[in-house]
Amino acid sequence: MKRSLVGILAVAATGTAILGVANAYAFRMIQNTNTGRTSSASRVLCDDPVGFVHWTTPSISWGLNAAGQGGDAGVTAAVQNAMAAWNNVSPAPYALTYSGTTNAGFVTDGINVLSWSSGNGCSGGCLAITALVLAPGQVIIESDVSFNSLAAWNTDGNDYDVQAVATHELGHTLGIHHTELQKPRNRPTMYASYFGTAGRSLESDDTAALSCSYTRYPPLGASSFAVAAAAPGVAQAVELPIRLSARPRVGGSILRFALTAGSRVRLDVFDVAGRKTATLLDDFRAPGEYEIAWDGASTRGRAASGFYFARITTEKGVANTTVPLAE
Amino acid sequence: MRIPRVVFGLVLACVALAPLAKPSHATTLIRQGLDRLAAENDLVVEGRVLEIHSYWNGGHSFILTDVTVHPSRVLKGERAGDVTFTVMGGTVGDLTTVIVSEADLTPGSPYVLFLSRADLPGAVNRLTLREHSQGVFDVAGGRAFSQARDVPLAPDAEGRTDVPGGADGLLLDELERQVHAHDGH
Repeated sequence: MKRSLVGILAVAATGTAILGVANAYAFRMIQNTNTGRTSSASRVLCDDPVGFVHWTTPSISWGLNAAGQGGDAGVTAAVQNAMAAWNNVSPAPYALTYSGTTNAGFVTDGINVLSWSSGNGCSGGCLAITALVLAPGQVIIESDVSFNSLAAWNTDGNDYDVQAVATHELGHTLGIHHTELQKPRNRPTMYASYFGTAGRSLESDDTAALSCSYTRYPPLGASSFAVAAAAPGVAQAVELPIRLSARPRVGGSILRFALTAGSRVRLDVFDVAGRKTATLLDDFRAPGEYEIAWDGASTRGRAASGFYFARITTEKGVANTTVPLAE
Repeated sequence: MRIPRVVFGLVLACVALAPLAKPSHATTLIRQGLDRLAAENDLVVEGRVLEIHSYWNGGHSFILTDVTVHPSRVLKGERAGDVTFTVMGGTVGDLTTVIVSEADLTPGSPYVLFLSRADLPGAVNRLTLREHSQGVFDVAGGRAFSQARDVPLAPDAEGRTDVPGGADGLLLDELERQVHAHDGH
């Protein structure tokens, strides 16, 4: 019997490993693989091989811009309580501190801010929105939360509860996604729906998520890295070379390039014999990063799946890359 | 040999609690039914994403992304060739801004998009996905699947939290019929 039990448990363990479960909790972390094509995030396990977004400092300072909030005197205490909920979780001693009121807002300026507005892309059915600014390696260097100023916000227990939503959104700013847990009571604040004032406090699933981050990415110590790395002036000063890359997608390929200045751009695809197969772009483009799909369309019909070469020609120079064309 | 029920339970529990990592979205959104999506958005199109362009806004204070779509069907609004709209976030150089609720859009893929104008950071009155992932439906096999199907939604006025079509999605023709029924024209 014992042997049989061990065997079955081993099978179960193998099965869960394959399916991706490695802990008893249901929390999930936010992953961004930095392909850059969109701003979405994936929901992954703590031991996901690609990792997840995280801070490298345990001390995270937050400002409050309640100018658009409507004057509820309890808001300051509510957001401070929300921060306190995430502090001193053992063994994950992150310290979210309140730095006072600020005029800063939902912008990339190195300052973490909770603010109220209807002009930050959070209007209509959006109650609150969280932005994470990431450096390479999924390192969070800034986060901002914008509450929809047109929604009804309260600190007296009525919907929508500032503290409960702030606690939830601050969880996102720490790299925690929504839990997979489904239950009617004692829900984690990272539960997958708004459930009123009960969301003000953490449950073990929340603290396990924070501990996961702390254990996998031990902070380097107090740091001002965020401000230095995210300062707009620093970002403006970055001079990118011409870069061209490609990755396969179902039915084709996606080509990616960056421009540091507006330029006439020509993007051609060639087969391995050097024959031009397609011209994907021949036009002016503004500065920024671009992604363009190629479905294999060519001057001779649909190109066969396989490898091709792409060349981008701009006023700054030329770059080449290999293009995998998938079925 | 008989296997104890508790072991069976454990095995079943392990399998039941073992979802694969999957794309999802976060933040706090109030549930929007198709009636509201259709009524409160100005342009509803089915189309394929042609190009995506991420850049700093004019004040160099936020990364935005322009998405250009070639519509194959206009469900609401005036068609005027390719449509370009803006979403928050993206990657420029070494910095990425993630909006933990935004739509997931890939060049070459087809979607149904509910678009209207709104103010974005440093960009006034932009055509955008005001309802974020609730305003995007993936298109596959003639059906449309709301990208908000994995999103936690706060209940609407009727207490509903389901997304249009649910996990099974909607036939595109049915989606179009419902949009027309609620588009206010």
